[in-house]
Amino acid sequence: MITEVRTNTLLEIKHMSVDYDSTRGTVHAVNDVSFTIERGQIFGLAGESGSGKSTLAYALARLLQPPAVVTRGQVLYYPREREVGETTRDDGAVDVLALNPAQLRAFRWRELSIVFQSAMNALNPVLDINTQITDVLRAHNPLMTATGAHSRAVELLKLVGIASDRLHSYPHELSGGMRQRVMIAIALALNPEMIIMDEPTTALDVVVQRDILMQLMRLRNDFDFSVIFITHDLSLLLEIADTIAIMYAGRIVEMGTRNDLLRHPRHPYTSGLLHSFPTLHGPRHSLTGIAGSPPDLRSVPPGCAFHPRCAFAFAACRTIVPSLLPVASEGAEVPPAGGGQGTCVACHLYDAKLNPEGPPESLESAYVN
Amino acid sequence: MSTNTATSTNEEPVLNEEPILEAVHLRKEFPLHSLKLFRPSQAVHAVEDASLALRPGRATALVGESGSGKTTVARLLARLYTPTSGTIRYGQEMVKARGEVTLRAYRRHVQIVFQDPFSSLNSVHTVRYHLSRPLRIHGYAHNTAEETQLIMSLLERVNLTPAEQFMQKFPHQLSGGQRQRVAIARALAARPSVLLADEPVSMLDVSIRLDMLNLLLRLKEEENMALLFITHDLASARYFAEETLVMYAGQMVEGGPSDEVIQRPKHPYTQLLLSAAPDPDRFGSTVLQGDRKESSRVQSIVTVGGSGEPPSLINPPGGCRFHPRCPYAMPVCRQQFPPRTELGGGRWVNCYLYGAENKTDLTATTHANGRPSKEVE
Repeated sequence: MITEVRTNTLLEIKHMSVDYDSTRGTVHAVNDVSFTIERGQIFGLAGESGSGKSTLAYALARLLQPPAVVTRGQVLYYPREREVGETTRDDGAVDVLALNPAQLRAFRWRELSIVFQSAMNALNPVLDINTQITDVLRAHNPLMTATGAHSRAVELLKLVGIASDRLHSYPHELSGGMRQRVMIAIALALNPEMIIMDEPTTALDVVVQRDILMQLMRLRNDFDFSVIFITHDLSLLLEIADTIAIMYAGRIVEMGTRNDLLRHPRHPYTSGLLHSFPTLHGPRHSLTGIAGSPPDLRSVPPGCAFHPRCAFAFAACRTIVPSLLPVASEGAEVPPAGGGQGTCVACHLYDAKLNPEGPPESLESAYVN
Repeated sequence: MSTNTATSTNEEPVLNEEPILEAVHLRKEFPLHSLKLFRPSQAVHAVEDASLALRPGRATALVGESGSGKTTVARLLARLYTPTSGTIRYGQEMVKARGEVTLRAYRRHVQIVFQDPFSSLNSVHTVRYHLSRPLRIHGYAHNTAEETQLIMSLLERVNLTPAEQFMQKFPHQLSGGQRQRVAIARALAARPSVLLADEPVSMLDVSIRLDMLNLLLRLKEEENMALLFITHDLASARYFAEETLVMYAGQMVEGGPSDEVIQRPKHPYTQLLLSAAPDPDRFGSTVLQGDRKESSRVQSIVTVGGSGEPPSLINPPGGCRFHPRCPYAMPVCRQQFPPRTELGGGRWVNCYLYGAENKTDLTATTHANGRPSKEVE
């Protein structure tokens, strides 16, 4: 039985927590994270190293290996064609964390693919790229003929801007940018609904990075897939993402549309990040950055994990963990058509009970002299 | 580098002070060893004709992509590599090619901070050991008490407090930012007058980068050091340095006061770099104008031309090495590297577009964000 597509939602993550068990104590790498991703959306996930952004993405794709354990949460995937069966729930959603190995194999790459940070390590150095692309195609589609797979491989390379005569090249014969393009081509092979990109351009130069992002935006317009784009470079996300979530010490501290985040950063950490990179234009401010350094996840500060570095911290921040709550949309823009979350922030400054005075006029003062 | 003091309207006099470290026409080739006997020997032409001058109390940024030779320049200046040709002058003296004593004396004045704080510290030694070596070698500390006192003050200067605790730590007990602070303290221990910082923040987390840059700026002011700041990020070059030099594939293509170079780039490569740099302002401004809507974001990425990648440095293109990617390339660009054209105010560019015989000014037809427009072709 096929039911109609009810919403525009593609992926729904509910209260996800991931722990790493170690002899020196459990590390809560991801802590109670919830968000939804719309079809065709570019969802940016920004944070420093150790903020849990990659762990979260790998958990969605069920790529985590022990000692990482998903302790809590649900990942619901809403396929385009809803076949209600044993794997799906009544509303047509697939519970990704409950898939058995065979179902998982079908789910991965056809529905969700992933581009890893280091293309040099993700590609097999002893196989040419033709073999690696056709391998994906034929593994998921055993009936595909060799010529069919070959022509699809050529087509995929063309999509990412690589000439077809490079098809029989080995990874070491390609430049860093081209390797990353091959990775994107492989991710696109089965027309997935969703691609997770884990710092796809971090190791690349700015010009190459710009080329690849340009290609990505073009492909997204043509094929309408969703992207989870993970990076530590907030300035990059502000250019490409629709919705941005900022992670700090395993939690999402702020989530909102690109414009809203850029104009009205609500969380002091977001504001600090925005004032951490010098700009190319305008007057040269003296920037102070964020004091201190990111916490050790084995001993996260109590209350809000950011409070030791926060200029606005008050008593409640040291004891109560703030939860991610929607904020009054004063000055905020309406969320994009087709639903989606409004701006949410996890900060006691916006809690009328704990901070009756209301949030400060501007968070900027703490970061700009 | 020419020392004409060209007067500029709003910049403080750039070239008045005598350079403390000057490199003239540096060239570095790394020979490739081939097993084939009768094949002509090949080399990586990493740096081709780099000239620069560092002045006390001023920061100079060297900007370029990976493989542009910027790290090689720093290593040549630190005398970790011997230049194939060209001269380095410290103060009034030529820096001699060899001799351990001369080099040690030179390194008292010129110190380097490396990019990767995870591999530039020795993991089997404590912070104290790392800092005590330069103090002993350069004769600043003669006994343990003196050594302790100097190390304490060094650690405090780089904001590693409480210093007593940090002294006993091993590198693996420190975060990336703390390690880089130790590396900076180690460089400062020799009391250098020139500090070469090779991408000092690129391996660090975003939120602590600025802290590190501000630390370096403060030290520069306090010690009146000359600072060479190597980076691939134009925005931090603008924030950090008074002067910016742009390198491409081993050649220096443009230089001058940072604001000038970044706000009004002349060389097509600088324009390309600038248009590719992530810049939320660009997006923000198009929204504020309100004339382009949702597509502006895609547009800002799509319309940037000049794609391609830097050339191989084993067989680099002749003439200007940027010509295969340059939208304005002329026949002469393929034959000969353009001479330096002085543009006044300390600005110079190595590009035939600005040569005496060709006075086209690209900036007249360049968008605010440094993207060359199509009309020029």
